[in-house]
Amino acid sequence: MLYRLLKFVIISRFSKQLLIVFGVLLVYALFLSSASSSSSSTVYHYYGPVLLTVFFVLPIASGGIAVLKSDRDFLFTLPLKRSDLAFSLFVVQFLSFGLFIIYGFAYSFSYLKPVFPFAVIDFIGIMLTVTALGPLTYSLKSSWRTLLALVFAIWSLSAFLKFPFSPSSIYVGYPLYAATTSIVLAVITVPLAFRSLSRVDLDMMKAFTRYSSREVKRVRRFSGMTPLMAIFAENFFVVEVSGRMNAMGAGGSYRSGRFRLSRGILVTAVLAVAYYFIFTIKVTPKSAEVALLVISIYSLIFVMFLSMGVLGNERLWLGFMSRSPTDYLRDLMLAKSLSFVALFLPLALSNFLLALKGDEMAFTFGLTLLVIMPSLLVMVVYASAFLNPLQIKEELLMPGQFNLRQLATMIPILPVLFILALVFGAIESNLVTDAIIISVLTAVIMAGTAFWLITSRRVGEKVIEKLVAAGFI
Amino acid sequence: MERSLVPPSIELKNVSKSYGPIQALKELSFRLEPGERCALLGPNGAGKTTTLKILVGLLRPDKGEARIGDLEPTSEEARRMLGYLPDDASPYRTLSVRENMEYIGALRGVPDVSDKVDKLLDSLMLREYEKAKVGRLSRGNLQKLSLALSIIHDPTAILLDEPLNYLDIPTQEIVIEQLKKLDSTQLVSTHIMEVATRLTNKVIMISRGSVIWIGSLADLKKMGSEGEPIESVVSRMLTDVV
Repeated sequence: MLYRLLKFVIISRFSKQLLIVFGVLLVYALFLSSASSSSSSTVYHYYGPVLLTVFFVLPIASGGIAVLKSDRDFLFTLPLKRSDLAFSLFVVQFLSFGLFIIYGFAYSFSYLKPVFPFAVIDFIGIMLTVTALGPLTYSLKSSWRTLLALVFAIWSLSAFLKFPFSPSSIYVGYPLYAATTSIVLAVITVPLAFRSLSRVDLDMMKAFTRYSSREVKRVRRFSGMTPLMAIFAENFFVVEVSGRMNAMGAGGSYRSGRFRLSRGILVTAVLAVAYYFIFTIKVTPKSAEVALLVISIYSLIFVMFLSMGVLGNERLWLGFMSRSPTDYLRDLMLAKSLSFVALFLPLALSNFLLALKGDEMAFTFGLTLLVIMPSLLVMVVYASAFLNPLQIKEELLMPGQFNLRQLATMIPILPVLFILALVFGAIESNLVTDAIIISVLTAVIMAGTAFWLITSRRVGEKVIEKLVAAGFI
Repeated sequence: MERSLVPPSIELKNVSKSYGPIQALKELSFRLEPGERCALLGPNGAGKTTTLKILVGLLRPDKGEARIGDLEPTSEEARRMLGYLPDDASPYRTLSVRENMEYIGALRGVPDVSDKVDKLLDSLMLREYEKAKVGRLSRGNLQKLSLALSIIHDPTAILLDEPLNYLDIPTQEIVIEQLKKLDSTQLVSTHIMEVATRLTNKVIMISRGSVIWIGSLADLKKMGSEGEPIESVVSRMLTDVV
């Protein structure tokens, strides 16, 4: 029975093609981690803790759990052994979250070659813990999830301060402590996650009740606005971060959160000032590497979160029907991408200021934030519309099966990753001018592509056709 | 640009539409005269929703043409006249009830949006949910809000897909009254004959993407034997075709 349930739960959440790709990637990652020669590059010293922080924060922040609406309506009402159900759902969580850690960290194994056995133990513990965090935090209030995410982030980044009892301290010379910490963490979190998954139907109802009892504190008014002003009021001045938040960019439950652009700019402005002063005091190639790493990883993740709700939360019968659908789409995308630009403008400006003061590499970071990332947002939204359009009709649930097309929507990221890697290499090789030229060319190409996508009536019509055919209301 | 306040005709001429290998509509033709109220009946998969989507300009026919008055449904002028309520309509989930209404009102260029919203909140008994996020609403209240959003701009051509779904009986009566008050041409897609008889006086029956019968409700009733429920007549007609 367990085997049949497990098979059903996996197949209903992941397409067979995707599972095959998962398998191939897994073999490749394992091969890479075991076959690569030992490296002493200090890049991994930063790469590990930063990426691990992302993996800890994502499942907590999202409270992601791979449960479908049909599970709630049918599967949970069946007379199944709760332990079987919990195990099956845990495996699914692992496929959504845990596997990605292998892909993410395989590249740092060359750095960990001298402590390979500890690295394996450490990563098993981390994988199990990250898999457990979604079910554990699913029914918690947002404030508790934020607090917990913050604690895990600080804990993970504490490795930079040489704190030994952190899962990421393996990157700073504490393999034994790191492995022990990870295993202890897994021993605590996994049983709790099983307990949570065995009563997932009850916890879900608790989360639903809390979610659905919300009233807006202050009603926003659109009265007296022109259509364009209304679109900008809704899509420029309010930032919506949403999506099926997990490490694969899809597969878990869907949530969305909104904040006012002015508040977001306040936060990025504070970060920008701190960033500027830190780099004014000390600009070294190492600090440039860290900056590039942090900026690229976190802004890429932010792009993903911004992109998922742009069309998924839209309503064809409302906004798109109020005027020419292609005009509405154009103005919507314009508002969303300009909102992104405004949000990251302070950080971009601080980079440009640093460039003026002599840190030429900072110019590429500024360009990445101001031009490349907003253009990427547009490209990912259009790629999703063509490859895998999915409308969000109900939150806190997984909106559909996770398939290969969802991975394909990430294709526009590849040139960005390629460029970032080139820039990284240029920094290490002191080829600053080359890196700047590459960045400028990328920015021009991507901005041009994004502009064409937004303004082309033909593309707009095709997108709308795709959405209608995909069953968008 | 000012929109016409006179109800337009609604017309499909030899419209065909396919989704890949599946042909949803085959040479479909019908016409609603200005001010006429008509029910669109048909079994599951008959092509009713596709028909409505073509008429509101969300889908383009592969062949044939759709007209709202003399206009293409995709034109700005036609959009000003059109009001559309899809089946299982879902407003913007992240906005409150009032925000949804004001946002769509502003997009539609409705003058005095705030007043209009107040009137609709009261007439559809949504006042107490004004600040509620859409996620909080029951299915019935969601349907009331959706209906309000589809008529907020006083459309003169209204296309409704199962408009009374999820509504309790008192609300159904309110909605029926509201719709009857609107000076408009109306096409109502439904499976429920009671809805058709309350909201319309003409029937277009389609099956497998083609019209199989057009006539008045009175004519439809006459086709049955004495005492035979109208549902039974419709069922017989649809089954004969299938």
